[in-house]
Amino acid sequence: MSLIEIDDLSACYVQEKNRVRAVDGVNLKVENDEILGIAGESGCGKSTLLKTIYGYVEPPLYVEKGGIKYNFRDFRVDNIFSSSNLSSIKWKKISYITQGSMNVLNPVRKVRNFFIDLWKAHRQNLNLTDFEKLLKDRLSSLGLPEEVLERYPHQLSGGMKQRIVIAASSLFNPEVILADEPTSALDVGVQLEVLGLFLKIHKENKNTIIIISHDMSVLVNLCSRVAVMYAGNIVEVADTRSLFKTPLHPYTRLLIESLPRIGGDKELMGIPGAPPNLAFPPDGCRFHPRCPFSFDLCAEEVPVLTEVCENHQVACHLRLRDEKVEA
Amino acid sequence: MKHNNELIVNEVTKIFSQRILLSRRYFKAVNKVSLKMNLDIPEVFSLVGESGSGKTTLANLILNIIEPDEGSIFFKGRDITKIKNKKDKMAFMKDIQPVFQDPFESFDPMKKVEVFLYETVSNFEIARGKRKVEAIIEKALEMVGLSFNEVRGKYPGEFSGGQLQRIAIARSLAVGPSILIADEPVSMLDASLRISIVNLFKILKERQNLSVLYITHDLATAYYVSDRIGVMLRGNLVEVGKAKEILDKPLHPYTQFLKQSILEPDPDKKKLDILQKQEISATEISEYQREGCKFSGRCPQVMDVCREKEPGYYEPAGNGIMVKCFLYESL
Repeated sequence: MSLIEIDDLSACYVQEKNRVRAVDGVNLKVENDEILGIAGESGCGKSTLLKTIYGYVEPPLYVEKGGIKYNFRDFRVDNIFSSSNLSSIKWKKISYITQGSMNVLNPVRKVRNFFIDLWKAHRQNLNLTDFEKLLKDRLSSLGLPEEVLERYPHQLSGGMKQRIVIAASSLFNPEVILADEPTSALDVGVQLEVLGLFLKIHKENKNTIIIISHDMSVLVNLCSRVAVMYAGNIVEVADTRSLFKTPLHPYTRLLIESLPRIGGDKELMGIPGAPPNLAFPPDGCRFHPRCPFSFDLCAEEVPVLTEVCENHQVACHLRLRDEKVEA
Repeated sequence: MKHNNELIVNEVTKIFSQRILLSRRYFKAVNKVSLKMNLDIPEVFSLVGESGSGKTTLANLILNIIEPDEGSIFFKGRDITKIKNKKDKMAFMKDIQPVFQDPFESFDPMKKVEVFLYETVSNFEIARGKRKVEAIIEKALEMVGLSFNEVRGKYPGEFSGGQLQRIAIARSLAVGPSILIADEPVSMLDASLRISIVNLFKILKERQNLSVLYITHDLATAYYVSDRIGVMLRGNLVEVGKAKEILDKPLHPYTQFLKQSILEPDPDKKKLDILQKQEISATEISEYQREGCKFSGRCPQVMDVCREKEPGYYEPAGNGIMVKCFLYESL
């Protein structure tokens, strides 16, 4: 039984006349104790998917169909969208680090007050002394100095603020941590340390972590499994090694190949074009207008995510055509 | 007047102050930086470093947005701080054009993007009359791989970040500069789009003889595109020379640290490990206040002398690579 089961989920933003379907028919199972990465360009629905996983669906975002089931260690949530007591799950079972989250700290209040607010909202039978003990233990186990609690956010560097938010997200040992681009605004040196922090939290508490990044090199270093999203669909899911060694979808391949490496002397090409407007996605495979390998079928029929070998699913006609030829 | 076609930054220092309660502390955001670009031989020069290393301050100094406290900057034989009258200033701004970090903020969201291009061309009095102006815009857009028909009548929200950044570059090109100062032009873009902008710099260098000062924290794209590279650390230029040579075999411990921190998209080269060390610096200012070498607090090869006085520039290999580090003093 998987921890999170996403079943045929579609979510859209309603504009005046159009529906922008940012998540379209996504099926995904997230296992216990894994670090799952979600890759893709901006405007492909990664953040919307993460928001719906957290159950954070507010207008203009609507869920059209499908549901998300959680199998926590001690209880089950059949569908997070119809669940009545979401607030009892948030922070304790699932926590969500939003994009640009290092700016969530209130600039005129000390960091300590940020944590006190957290305690007030989710105290869970803890009195203040116990909470402060928990807080100090957590900070020291993550290697953060205790004195940050007495600082104001503007006195701290960006990396430090990001670490504080990550520490807060893991404070109540949630089973799931969702992180949206947690390192994109950070310097290379700090990025490495912040990603190391995730690894440490994962090792100590066995949380499941879902992390979004448009930078494939972040995902390859952190994740055990990677899902690639394009225009609201998941086009490829595989464990990290096989995804990077043998990418099957042309989009995945282009994403990996567009990254420059030190020591490499190849001429590189970006991916031509841009992701489609999701209010009017192209017919057939959504990547076909940009795909260097597209053929007639791609414009007509939508490819289905199919398992081609163990733990490697891909939605591409090219792959299926090859298999037919081989057979 | 072609004999002096150079940008020379000569021992430039910029001092900023920070007030804490009643006290006031000074720090050098740019400390005695010298560099030279010959515009006759176009090149892409990258300035790399972490945030807060003074890269943008140096760019602003070169663009004459702020004035240096010490040192001087010469552009085509003229001291740029002494350019006072409006006509000369115009000519200077025509020749040296900026490209900014965030393409979404470079454009007014309520105005069509072409307005921005029109305004630039007419403000600089390059052409008069609609047809002439449009011809110049068309040409500038062509250089960045777009056409006027793709751009006409659209608002910034209708473009992707990569396209907008191209249009922003086209705006800079419309006035016919000989050098672009690009301050983090790709940091807001997706990793996959970065390469197309960086490729554009290469093309502009080769076809339009345009020099580019490319400011970035992304070492991988800097390696890919640049001819020369300068590594900045807390206001100091610590290593400067040929890009490929420096990044293949970095000499300064700081450059080595930067290179080690780059994540590679290859499952065989995982760098991440659970970090055991108890580092965590307090704030960025404190490193600026450090005596001697600014990296001495983090440097794995630190010596006593590093904490006491500031290192000079040394050229250990005799190949033009200058390093500001005592490790290479005796070599």
